[in-house]
Amino acid sequence: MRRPGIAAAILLMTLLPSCGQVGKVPADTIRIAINSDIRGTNPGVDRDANTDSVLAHVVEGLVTYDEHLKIVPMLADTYSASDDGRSYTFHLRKEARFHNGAPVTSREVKWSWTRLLDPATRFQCRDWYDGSRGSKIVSIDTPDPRTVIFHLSQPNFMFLEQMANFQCVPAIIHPASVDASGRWLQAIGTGPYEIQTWQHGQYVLLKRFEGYRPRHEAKTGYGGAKIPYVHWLKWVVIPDPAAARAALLSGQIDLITAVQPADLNEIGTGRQVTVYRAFGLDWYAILLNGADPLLKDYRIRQAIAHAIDFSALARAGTEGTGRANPSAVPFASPYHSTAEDFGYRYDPSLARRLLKQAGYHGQPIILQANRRYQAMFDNAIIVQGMLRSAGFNIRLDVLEWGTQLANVPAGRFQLMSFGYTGRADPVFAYVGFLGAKTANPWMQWDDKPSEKLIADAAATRNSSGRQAILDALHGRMLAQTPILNLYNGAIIDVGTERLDGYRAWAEGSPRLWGVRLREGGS
Amino acid sequence: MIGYAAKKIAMTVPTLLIISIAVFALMRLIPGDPVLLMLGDTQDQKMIAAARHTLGIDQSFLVQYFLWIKAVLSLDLGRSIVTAEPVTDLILARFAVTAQVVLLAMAAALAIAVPAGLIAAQQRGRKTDRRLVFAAVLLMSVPSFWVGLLLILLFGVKLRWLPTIGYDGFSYLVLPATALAMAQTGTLLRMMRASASDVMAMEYVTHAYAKGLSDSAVLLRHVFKNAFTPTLSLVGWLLGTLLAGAAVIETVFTLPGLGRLLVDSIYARDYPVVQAIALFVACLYVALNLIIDLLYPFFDPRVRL
Repeated sequence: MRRPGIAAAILLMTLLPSCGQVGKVPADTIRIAINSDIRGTNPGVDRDANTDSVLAHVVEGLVTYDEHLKIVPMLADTYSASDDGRSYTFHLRKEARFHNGAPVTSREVKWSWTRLLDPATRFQCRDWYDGSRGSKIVSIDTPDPRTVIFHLSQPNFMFLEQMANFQCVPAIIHPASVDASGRWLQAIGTGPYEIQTWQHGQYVLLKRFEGYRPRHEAKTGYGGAKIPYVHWLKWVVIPDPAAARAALLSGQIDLITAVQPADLNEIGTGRQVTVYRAFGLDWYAILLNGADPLLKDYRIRQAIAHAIDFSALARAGTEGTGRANPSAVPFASPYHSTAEDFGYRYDPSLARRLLKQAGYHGQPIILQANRRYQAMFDNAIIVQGMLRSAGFNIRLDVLEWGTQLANVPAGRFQLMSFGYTGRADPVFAYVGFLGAKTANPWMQWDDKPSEKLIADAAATRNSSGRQAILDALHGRMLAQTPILNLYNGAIIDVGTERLDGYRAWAEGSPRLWGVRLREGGS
Repeated sequence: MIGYAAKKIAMTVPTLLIISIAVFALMRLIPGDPVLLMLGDTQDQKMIAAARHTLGIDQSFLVQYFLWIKAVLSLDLGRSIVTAEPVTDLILARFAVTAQVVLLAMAAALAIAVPAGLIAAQQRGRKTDRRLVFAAVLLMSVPSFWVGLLLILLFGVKLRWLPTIGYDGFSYLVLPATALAMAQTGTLLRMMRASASDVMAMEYVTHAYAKGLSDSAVLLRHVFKNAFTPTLSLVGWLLGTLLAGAAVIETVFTLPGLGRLLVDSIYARDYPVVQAIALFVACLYVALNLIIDLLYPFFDPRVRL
């Protein structure tokens, strides 16, 4: 019996050192759960939401959005636009440094932009700047080391909003980020953290950039002072939400983001955790395929709209944390006025009358949804119930996400429960679904006058004038019913008691600068 | 024996060819576009077309297949569409994690199931046997992911003894291996009990007892060796299944293993990775079966290869 005894002793000796140490990490580390690995370290090129979130701590652009979704300078000290909207001038912060210690000068800014505009770089938003969507950057002047001037081919009053866009930040990086042949090596940016380790499929470890010189303004949105109080940020890949919640409750993770409202009950708000909430920019919608033989009838689409109780749907879909938003302009936007609150009246009897007028006699209508995004599935279930009550013959078709996504540009659907990534500026929100389907198959609302309106909104610098155009656009959308906007997803992040100074915000991505760790937390 | 192994390996060539065609075709038949999933919000049609061209998925099915199989024959499994990593590196790194969990689970399961099965057979019909059979049925009936969640709640959330996410050393393997081992223990115990019961009825076992040998001596020297061969076949099959399909446990415990890679790659339509894993798993099954076949003579000298 000696051998089994020795084996058991060895096993215990191996296990014991780890026992009782779960959650005991270096005191100066914040651990954040992400539901999938980052796609790469090349900002704006290999990207998705998680990648953008992580790299937002590593790289910066010339301008960014503040907490109220207004443009503020980031690497720029000041900026100005010419009256004709054809040239933009940026004066750089003299304190700004790259992670390798080099100062940020106009030379690196021009190099970064030249690289982004090169098709070989595969910058995902290059079409915003190369003339594909109108305006083109024709030249970048650097009259002195702290001044950069962008010259555009035609007026573009959305240039700063494009530069600040969350999804495609044109990051200013040091030329040493690539090798002599232009091959990507690593992100040598200017953010408060730098990448220490990327363990593929497991975690990304960021280290505080000791040479970071924060701005003097208070922390706001992605702008202001980005003070890296904590030494290490560890972004841990946890695909399963239940596993992420367990990791939070066992002290192995400090922060989980994008928590579903229904899961808050399981976490329990009194269990040494703090819930952070904000109104998000992402929005859920029901897509109506206007090319479908049944749905091309305006009365059928209107009947669908009047058969849905949007307020009840929003309450149910967000567990009471959100409210209906019939507009593409999010609540968090300064352009969400009372006009944007105006939506379809819940009137099932009107819906029935419209159906009768349209000659609807119970033909089946398929509503597509998926289980990857629980809110889209929940919305579909509720909408199906409401439409059935109003006399529709609605069938639910639950698809795998990749399949459903491919059906959007292919037009292979009648109704679809869908969601759009939030955009800080309403113009970007509208151009995600408003346009000629022949030019872009993703478009859901093909209406020339409305396209003209959104182009006018983009070209209008005066905020009240812009507001009037957006209000008119909302009215046209309600009248034509190309899409049914439901509500903005609630941003719900949950952190342990260790976090001090953390705040959720409309954009949804966690910001770990300006956050301290309390002593004594588990 | 060498001739037998060579023949077995040669027989796998047509199997691998059929698998390669089937997986390649099935992946293309699944609706969905890897470029749309990869580029996400991007609606730039030029960029989407360029990405399709770069990946070669704008070509005909046959051209795509022949280009891929030609590369595979020169041992180039390509690069992941999602991460751009070489697929070979990706699979080997992930398989290393899966192999550790699965081998640990199998070792634990065998360490419990084999003696328990022998004892149950020896005590056949008595209280101990009934208890062991009940435990085996219970273990087989409980899904391993549910066991995993319970283990997380108890040892992770409640007691905080063991880590429940990620992979950073042996302690991270304990809970997932335990969850996997439990179901296998039940299956192996029942198989061991059944085959040991047959052996116990043999005359040479009665003869051994008549010689005055102790229970443990009879079980270990005479029953175990003769009763283990069917269990060994089952071990081979279970190992193959687990090495290729521990995705659920890997997801529950956030382990970067092969199963999770396969599931993630299917969702992302990462064609090169899915195709390579299918071939890898097929080879794995062949290798495991070969090893098990080669082990038979050790336990049963009557077997000649």
